[in-house]
Amino acid sequence: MNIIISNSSNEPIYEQISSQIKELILRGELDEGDLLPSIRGLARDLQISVITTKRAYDELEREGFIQTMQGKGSYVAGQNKELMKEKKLKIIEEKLWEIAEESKLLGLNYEEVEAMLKILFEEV
Amino acid sequence: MNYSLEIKNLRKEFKGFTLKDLNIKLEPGFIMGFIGPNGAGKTTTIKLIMNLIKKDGGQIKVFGKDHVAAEKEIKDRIGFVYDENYYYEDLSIRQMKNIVSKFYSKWDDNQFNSYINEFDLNPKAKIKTLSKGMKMKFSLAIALSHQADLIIMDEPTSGLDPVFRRGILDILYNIIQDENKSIFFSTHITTDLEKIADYITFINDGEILFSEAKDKILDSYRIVKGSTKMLEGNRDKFIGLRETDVGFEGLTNNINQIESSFNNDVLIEKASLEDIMVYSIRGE
Amino acid sequence: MFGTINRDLTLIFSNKSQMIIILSIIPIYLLVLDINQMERMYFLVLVMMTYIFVMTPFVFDMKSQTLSMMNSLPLRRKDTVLYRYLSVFIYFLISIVYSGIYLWVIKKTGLMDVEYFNLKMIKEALPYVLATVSIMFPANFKFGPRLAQILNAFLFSFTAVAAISLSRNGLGSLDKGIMGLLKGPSLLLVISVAYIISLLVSMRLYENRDL
Repeated sequence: MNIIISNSSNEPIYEQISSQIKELILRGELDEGDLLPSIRGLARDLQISVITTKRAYDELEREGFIQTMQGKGSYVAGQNKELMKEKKLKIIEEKLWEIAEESKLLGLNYEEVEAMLKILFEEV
Repeated sequence: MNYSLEIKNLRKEFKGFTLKDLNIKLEPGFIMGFIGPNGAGKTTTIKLIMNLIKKDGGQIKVFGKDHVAAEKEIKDRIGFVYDENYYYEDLSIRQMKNIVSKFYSKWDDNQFNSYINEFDLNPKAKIKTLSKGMKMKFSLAIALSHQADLIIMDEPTSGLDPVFRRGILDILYNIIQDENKSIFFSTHITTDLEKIADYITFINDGEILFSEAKDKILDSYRIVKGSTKMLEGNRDKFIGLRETDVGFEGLTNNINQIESSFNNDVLIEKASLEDIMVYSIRGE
Repeated sequence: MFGTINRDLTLIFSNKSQMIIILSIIPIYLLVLDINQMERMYFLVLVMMTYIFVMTPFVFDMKSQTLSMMNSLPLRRKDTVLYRYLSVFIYFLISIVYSGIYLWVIKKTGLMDVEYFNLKMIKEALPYVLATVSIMFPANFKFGPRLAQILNAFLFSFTAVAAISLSRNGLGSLDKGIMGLLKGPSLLLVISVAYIISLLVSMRLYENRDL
């Protein structure tokens, strides 16, 4: 498992960690039941504070991605891939709804919106 | 909860300098960086904790016990590394170790020997032949070889090269893998702490300016850069300012205020611990 | 206690110049003093040896600036003081044994006819040592290097001067003055009390000292 953090990015380090781990889980590189590095071990490897890694793990646990067992460590929780995918899909749907609304108000038609989306897809 | 170190309203008066209202709390399992300019009171604070000098007021507890009443018991669990590490000059490392080890109840000779090996020190070398860096390594080897639960270090890396300093940080990281151990580390080299510290206490002129989680500190301070004319009427928004012919640079801990006052006309960047320290002091 | 004695002995035996001094005290006295004052020489040897052993840690701590380090070890200041005061007896014993062996060897080899054990002198030397230490210790525990060194130097030279006047004027002069006081059992009691008072004073002074 590889985690690369950037000191110069504007994104807080704990967020970089939690989103990278989320991605690994969603992409299937981390499976249900896989043991994550301890918060202290991770802090040492990344040369950051243990408070930061703890915050990242706390967030992941809150969102249901991992489970921490006292004395044993943190494990990738099950079923989340589906749940998360669903959740993300829902968010995308909501955002698309907003886009549809705004575009209609502005008088844009579907093709114009599609063209914008195409360009953005290539940039991201 | 039992703090590793708990200081309440500590006070010490000298001629021309007073340490006052010191409040510090350190939980087990964390590293606290104690930063401040030279003469701010860092060494004084450490001497007070170790009861080398007598406090004039306040309370110091280590592992939940009063630092004087339970002095011997506490010091058995403290490993210390000072800025100037003095030992009996004519003795060898091994002889010096033999003297010191007798005082600790949980001395581990194997651990000591492995550190001496790792640090590339010759046990037969006389103390007087050791450089400052080697004496520091020797102190560290002793500090880590008696199951200490609190490591107190006073400017351990000043005068040492960066390669060496990173090596020390690695060792500290390894110590802190045990969540029952804590480290209290004073320094004016803030780059060392930027990575490793969990908490930062900043002292200046005998008083504490803040004592917080490092992440929180780095999240709330920003460096703001812009053109000089923008400063009109805005100078008081900054903790510290540096004005030049080509613009200004200032420190703020109120990002929202800056963003609303200046919109996007200024450059806002993360502040390093050194920035925070320097501007907080100079800006007064 | 053991840790402190271990430290003292390590320091004493580590330093070459120190060892030379310890080894040459007896020969020097033998050369300087009259054969008739063997008794008093024995007295002086006991006293000087004890001083050297007892003052060594103070001297080394001053020279090497090790006070902060030593006081950061798990050791109460009160205990440090107590061990110092108790160690005087141990070092006194060591000097009896050391000088006994040294002088016995000298006698056996026929170099000089010396006494290697004199109970009467031991009984006078001990109170003398205790009395002077009662003054020296509080000063050393309270004051920094410079002042303490002045006091120690004073005491050493006082003893040395006593040795010289002793070798010039003979036994008789000693029975007057200070040595004359060192007789009588009640004196031992007084000295013991003074020693204990000195101990308590030293404890108080050392506990409150800023290093």
